[in-house]
Amino acid sequence: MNAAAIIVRTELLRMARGRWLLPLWLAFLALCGYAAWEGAAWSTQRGAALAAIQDEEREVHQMRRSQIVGELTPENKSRYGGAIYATAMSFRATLPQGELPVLTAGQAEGYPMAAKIFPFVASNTIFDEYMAGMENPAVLAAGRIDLAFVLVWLLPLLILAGSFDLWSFERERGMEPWLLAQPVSPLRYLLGKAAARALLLVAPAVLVLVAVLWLTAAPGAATLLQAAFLSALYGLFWLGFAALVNLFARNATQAALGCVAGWLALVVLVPALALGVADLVAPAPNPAERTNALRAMAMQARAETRQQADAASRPEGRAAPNIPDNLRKRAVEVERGEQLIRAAVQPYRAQDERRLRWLDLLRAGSPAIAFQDALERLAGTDAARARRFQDQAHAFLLDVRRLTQRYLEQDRLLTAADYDHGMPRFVHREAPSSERLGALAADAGVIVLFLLALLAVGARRLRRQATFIE
Amino acid sequence: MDARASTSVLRQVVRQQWLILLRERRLRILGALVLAMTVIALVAAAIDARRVRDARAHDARIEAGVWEAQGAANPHGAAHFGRYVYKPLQALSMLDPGLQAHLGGTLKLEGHVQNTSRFKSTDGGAALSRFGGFSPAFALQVLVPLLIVFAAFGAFSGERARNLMWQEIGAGATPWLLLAGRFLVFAGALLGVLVLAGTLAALLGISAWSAQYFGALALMLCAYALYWLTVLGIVLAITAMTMSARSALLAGLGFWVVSAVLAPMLAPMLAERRHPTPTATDFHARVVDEIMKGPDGHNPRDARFAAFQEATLKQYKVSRIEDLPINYSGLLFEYGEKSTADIYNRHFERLYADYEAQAAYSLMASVVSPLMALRPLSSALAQSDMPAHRHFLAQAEAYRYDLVQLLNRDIKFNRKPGMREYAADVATVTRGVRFEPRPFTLAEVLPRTAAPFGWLLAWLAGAVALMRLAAWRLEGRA
Repeated sequence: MNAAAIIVRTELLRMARGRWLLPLWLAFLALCGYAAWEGAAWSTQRGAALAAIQDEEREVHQMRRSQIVGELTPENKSRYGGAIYATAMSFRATLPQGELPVLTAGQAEGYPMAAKIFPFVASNTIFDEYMAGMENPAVLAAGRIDLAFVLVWLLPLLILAGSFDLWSFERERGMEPWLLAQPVSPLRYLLGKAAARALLLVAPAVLVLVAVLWLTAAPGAATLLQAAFLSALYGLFWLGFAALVNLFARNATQAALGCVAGWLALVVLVPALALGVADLVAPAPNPAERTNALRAMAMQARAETRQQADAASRPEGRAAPNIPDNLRKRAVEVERGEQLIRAAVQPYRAQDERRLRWLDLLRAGSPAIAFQDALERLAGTDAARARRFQDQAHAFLLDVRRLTQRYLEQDRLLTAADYDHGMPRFVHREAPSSERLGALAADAGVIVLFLLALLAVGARRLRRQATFIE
Repeated sequence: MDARASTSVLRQVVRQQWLILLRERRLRILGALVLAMTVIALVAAAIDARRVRDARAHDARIEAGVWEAQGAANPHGAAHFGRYVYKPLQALSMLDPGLQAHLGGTLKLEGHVQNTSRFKSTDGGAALSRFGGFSPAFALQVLVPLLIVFAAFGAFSGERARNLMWQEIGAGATPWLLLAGRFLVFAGALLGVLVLAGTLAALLGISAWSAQYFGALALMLCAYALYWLTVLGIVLAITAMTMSARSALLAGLGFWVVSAVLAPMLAPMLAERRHPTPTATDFHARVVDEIMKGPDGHNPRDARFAAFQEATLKQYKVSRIEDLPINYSGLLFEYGEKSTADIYNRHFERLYADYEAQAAYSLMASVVSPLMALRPLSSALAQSDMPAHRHFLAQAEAYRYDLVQLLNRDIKFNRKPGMREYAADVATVTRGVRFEPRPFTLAEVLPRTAAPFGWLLAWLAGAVALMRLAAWRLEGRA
């Protein structure tokens, strides 16, 4: 058996005999189980809410169809405008859940999960009904214990708790000179000890995660592998961090302090600081100001179209149309309103995009942020997906408006056949897999870069120590 | 040992520990770091509060302009167009933003509907937003206890500290006096930090100075003092009970993780499980369902208005709607608004009752963490909690109702029979109602702080008892 294998074996035995390993594993398992249970409950509740929204659309269509079939007569037509005029078509666009919603709620609660679409609704208000959740703000403020929280925040603590005395233990017991006198390099010692901890701390944690995800969400193999790979990488980063701290610490207490300080810095302080930087450099647009601007635009559109109302009205003597003229006037008003909205929203949208670019960039500030980002992408609760949905819902509204315009131009009423199979349906299109993989690779890249930085500092320290020993 | 001798020994222990504290480089760095972070957080919060206050004042001015610019419009259309109101920021929320980021500071008021507040600062974030910002409250509630753990874990444990302790005991000090001495020294340093933070917060909130402000600030600082002393007492007891510094550090960190990280997250989630909150979709579906069962205020021919119509005709002693001296549609709008407002009020009452039950459940988690008592207490005094928000919403709803009913009454009294389209100057019609929300007075907040204060006092008593126990065990060993 070579020296490396002996070191790993000895270290494994020592860890296995330690009384702390089993409680750590059990605590982590319990936390993962609880987080997955919470995540599954959240995902079920959200799924039910999405289904209810889609049901709402179906019920409206069914009700209107049955009105056309069973109640509509040429005499009572005016009472069923909602069923027969294309201008009253009612749709719901919903953002389906991703592949692993149990992993994290991510940004799901900060973006709308659905849109209510009518041809004449102002495009800036289609998400309003689904923006305001009823969740207790105290729960949101406390933060959810989901699997991402356990992995991003607590997995490092598990690894640090099991590795904080990786080398300082030997130093404290006076074994360091004896060990360094052996024909084994310090790097090999360190790698052997780290490998043993990777096997008994990182690997079981990854296995627990895979098992929990497989049991609660049954995702595809690729997604599961990606989650496992990223978690292992993140775990190895913290193991590397503990090893680095041990190269500097004089005793186990100092090493523990260094590890906790590092955790605090990378998981709590750097993200808070990064958020502060984002607020300073690219502040979020003021939504209240935007709303006021849009309301002013809506009034302008109304005033303009009222002035042009006479010009837009139909010449007298022409046959009464199926669709009343005031709906055509309204269509003109909506069209003008949309132009004004687009112009008014542009600067706010640009500001929003700039902020998101900065937030995206700042994930490189800490492996914890990059890992959280990756988990949100895997869960399908990331900001990019939510924004993609918003763009698609907006495009769908414009499609519906174009369709309505055709009905108005042809003076055509909706029929039962339209309700049967002629209505457009919103289908969310996911981003191309290359885009998703690219973003995940960028997140993994950030963690790898931090790991390499640790290795570089560690190698430098070891070289210095070697010179000192020689 | 008599009282005078005890005092003398205690004074010596305090002096010696104070010197150790001053000489310890690690503690100086840690203290300076936490103090610097608290100061930065306070200054950043003050700048942010000013920005938000200015923005809301500006938004309110623009909104009023938009409302007035409507000119002559259909009053019911104006009720649908609605108004926006902005929640005033309370001065102490700079110190403890509480739930503010998740409450939203803007509310749309419109006819038929009661909206929830919108534009939360947490909306539209990215992965980074999940970590949350850095507030003075975070520094005082989470980081300072961590500093206490780091600072005090070696007070008795570890070879050097143990040797010093045995020497002190040999010189005539009792373990309890040693514990009390160390407690007093650390407590003095902590109270110094607290006074500095409080003074800075008061200076940054100079524009809000009043007796109420200082009363709330003083109570808040008292609560933080109780909390920190509790943590200090527990950490000192741990260090006195454990031989090695490493065990003391791990136990102290374990206490911090459970009480400052896990319990504050777990308790609200468990409370939500115990008293479930409906989803927004369910809530709106229930409200709309109940509203739809009632008559439609937009449709005077709705058969469900028959009884109301009959009563109205009887009241005005006429036999036909056309003969009424008022506009019947306006009357129906008025009646419909009252019905929907009642329905909304009932459902929101139920929702807020759930929130209250959850808050009471979370407060029970004070059994495992003193932070669970401090958080509601601190945010109640800062008026950044749910009851303060609800207080604002109640005032906004009263204003909404008055505003909409004024518009409805304008139709009722001024729209004459035969008028195909009716328009009135909505700004003139609604000039009589103004929205001037007032925050809770300190006297109104105080009853809510009694239970959390009780918990904090109980925790401090528990910490002192634990210190007594640790001292008793040391005496046994001595």
